[in-house]
Amino acid sequence: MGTPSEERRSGGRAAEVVVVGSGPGGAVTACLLAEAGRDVLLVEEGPSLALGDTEPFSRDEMRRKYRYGGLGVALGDPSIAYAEGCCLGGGSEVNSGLYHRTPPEILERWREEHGLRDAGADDLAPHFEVCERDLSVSLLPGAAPPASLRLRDGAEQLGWRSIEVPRWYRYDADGRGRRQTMTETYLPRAVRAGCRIATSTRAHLVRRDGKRFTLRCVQGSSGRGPVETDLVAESLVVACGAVQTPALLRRSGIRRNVGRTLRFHPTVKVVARFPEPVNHLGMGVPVHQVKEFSPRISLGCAISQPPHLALAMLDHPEVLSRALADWPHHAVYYAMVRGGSGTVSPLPAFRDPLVRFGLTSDDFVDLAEGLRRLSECLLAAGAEVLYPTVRGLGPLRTASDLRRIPPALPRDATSLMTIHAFSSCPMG
Amino acid sequence: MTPSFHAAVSALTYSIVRERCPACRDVSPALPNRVVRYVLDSHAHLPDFMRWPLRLATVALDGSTLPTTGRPLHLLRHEERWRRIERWRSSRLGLLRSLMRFYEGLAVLGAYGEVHGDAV
Repeated sequence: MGTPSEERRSGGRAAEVVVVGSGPGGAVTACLLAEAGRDVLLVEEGPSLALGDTEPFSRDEMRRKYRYGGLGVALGDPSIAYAEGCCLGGGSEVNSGLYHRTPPEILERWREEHGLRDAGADDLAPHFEVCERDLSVSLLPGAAPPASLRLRDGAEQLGWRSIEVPRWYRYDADGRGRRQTMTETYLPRAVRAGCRIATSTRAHLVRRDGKRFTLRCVQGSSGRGPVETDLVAESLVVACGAVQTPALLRRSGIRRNVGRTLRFHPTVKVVARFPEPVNHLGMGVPVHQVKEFSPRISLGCAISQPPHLALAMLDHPEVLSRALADWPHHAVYYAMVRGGSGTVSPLPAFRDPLVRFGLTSDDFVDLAEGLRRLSECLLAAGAEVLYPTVRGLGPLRTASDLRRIPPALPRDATSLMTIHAFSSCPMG
Repeated sequence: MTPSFHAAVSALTYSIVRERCPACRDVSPALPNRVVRYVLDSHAHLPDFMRWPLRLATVALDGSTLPTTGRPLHLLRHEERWRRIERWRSSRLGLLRSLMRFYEGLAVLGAYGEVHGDAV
């Protein structure tokens, strides 16, 4: 079996199964199919970069491993910034590696709405255990970063439930961890089982010819190269994320139930200043989350390196440079809500799909409550001052200041972002 | 005297870095230039359907000062340019605010990334 372009020239079959996308969905699928003896070709739009090729959460990583350099935007009122991976291994290469089993209430909803049987928490437990073993899902061997502990402390003061979220990390005897991304786990296994991988290959169109699928791809760096390739396969798995999957399907004329139900977890942030240092270069990923108000609202600590702090302080320009001069005392926290719905639409004559997202008035009530709860928690943890990403709200220093948070955050003054995009191609 | 995308991005970035990142002065005189390159590179990575509208909006912004000052934004003195940026940041027009937010976000991300050794 040759390379994909050789296949097109010969007009032969590229593989029995072509998998589009090498993130957790595509990588696990390709690996298990290859290990089951299937002839698998995995197609990935992004480049192949090793885990250590970029500094985690740096601008270099954003430029080389994220789609749009990390500057995805879902247009709406307000627009929401989102980020997604675009490299071999997909999102697993750029995210924090925090791991949750699928929540029981989601499994229950799938059962109710889609008649999905044998997929309850007990049914899936053995499968979760296999994934957790394969990915070395574990708690930190030592103390969590100070900024993360402050969130836990605040929750404890208030009697709220908080958890340390396990991560897909493998730790050595000295406690040094290595993220167990797809390029560290399932993709090498897939290759050992015979799976072939074509990187820098963008899937553009799917066509069905009788019992076979033809996938038209564009090969070249980041999908901008000029070489078009047709890959023929008996089975096709499209697993290229919540935005690109519906974009590919809709561009190919497959529209039913596709790309109309995009969900995000919109997130509002707060920068907190503490009297003692809570942050240092390379602090790593905070692991604590407050689940007292889950699933409606989750609270957590975000990556807080100085450039990220500066970005989160944009609504407080008068103190931005002063805060950054004293950055080890500051950390970024978030309140994340559910809610809203979006669409993914391919645009004629353009390569990239249009993403739109709308939030209801109730969602802004939830965001306001999330911001209030987060602020309570951080003040209880000893924060001296809080800077929310809401223009015009001003710094919050005391419990009475929290009354200034309106019942619903203002649409035109709230900066929202997300790294969670999902549900754009639901079952059924 | 002609409005220009590159010159406008450069001018906006220089002004934002100067106001928002005083620490940059102590690092290297070349720092703002590196941030400008970062902002332009980020623009080139945007979704393709957003690049030209953003480019046109930026050029329009650059030219918007011509009627009143006789000069495009990028040829104004920093103080005069900053007054306009401040006004646009709090404009009632959401698109104008978003445009300023885009450049301000990239400029501070780039500037503080440079100060703290976050490689590009």
